[in-house]
Amino acid sequence: MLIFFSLGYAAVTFPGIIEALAVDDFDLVKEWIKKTASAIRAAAEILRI
Amino acid sequence: MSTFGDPGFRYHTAIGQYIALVAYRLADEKVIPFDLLTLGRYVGYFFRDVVSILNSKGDPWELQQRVNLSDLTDATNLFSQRVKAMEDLKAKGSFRSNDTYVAIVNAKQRDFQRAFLDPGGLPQRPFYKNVLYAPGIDTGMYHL
Repeated sequence: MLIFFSLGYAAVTFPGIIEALAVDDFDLVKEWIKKTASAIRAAAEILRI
Repeated sequence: MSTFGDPGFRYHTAIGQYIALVAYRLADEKVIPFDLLTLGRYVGYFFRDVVSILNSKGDPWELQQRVNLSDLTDATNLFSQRVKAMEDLKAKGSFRSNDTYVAIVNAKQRDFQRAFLDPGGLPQRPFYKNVLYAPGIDTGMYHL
């Protein structure tokens, strides 16, 4: 079952995770959860005051 | 363009004027008027979308064993906290008159989105590096 969270020219959000989920590659899903989380954390760190 | 797309280039003119006003405002504002709260909210929505998709793929209990979202949950929550803290600071009466704080906050607002770039990029599309968004694979904008 391929569910894809993007139609037409729409962008995909959290593309690493969602595209890995679309092909049921759970190792890739885990890898991209890690990369996405770490990028968000890095951005949060820059915003720290 | 002059026959069908935009005869008289009126749309082009109007949009050009609008963009000029936006640029003027951005250049003029002492504190970069970035709406961080909305961005924080949207990152939360992106996270919820992942949870929805994951749940639709099968038994939520079994999936949670296979895929651990806690790293992403924590990161998203942390991001929300930090944007709230920064917006609270920007809203403080005394903040705007403190040039040092303003410079620091502006530098942070300028820089933080660069952190969303993963150097390797997406599988098969290494030129798309932003972990938050990318063009959909099926859009035909594959650029191979």
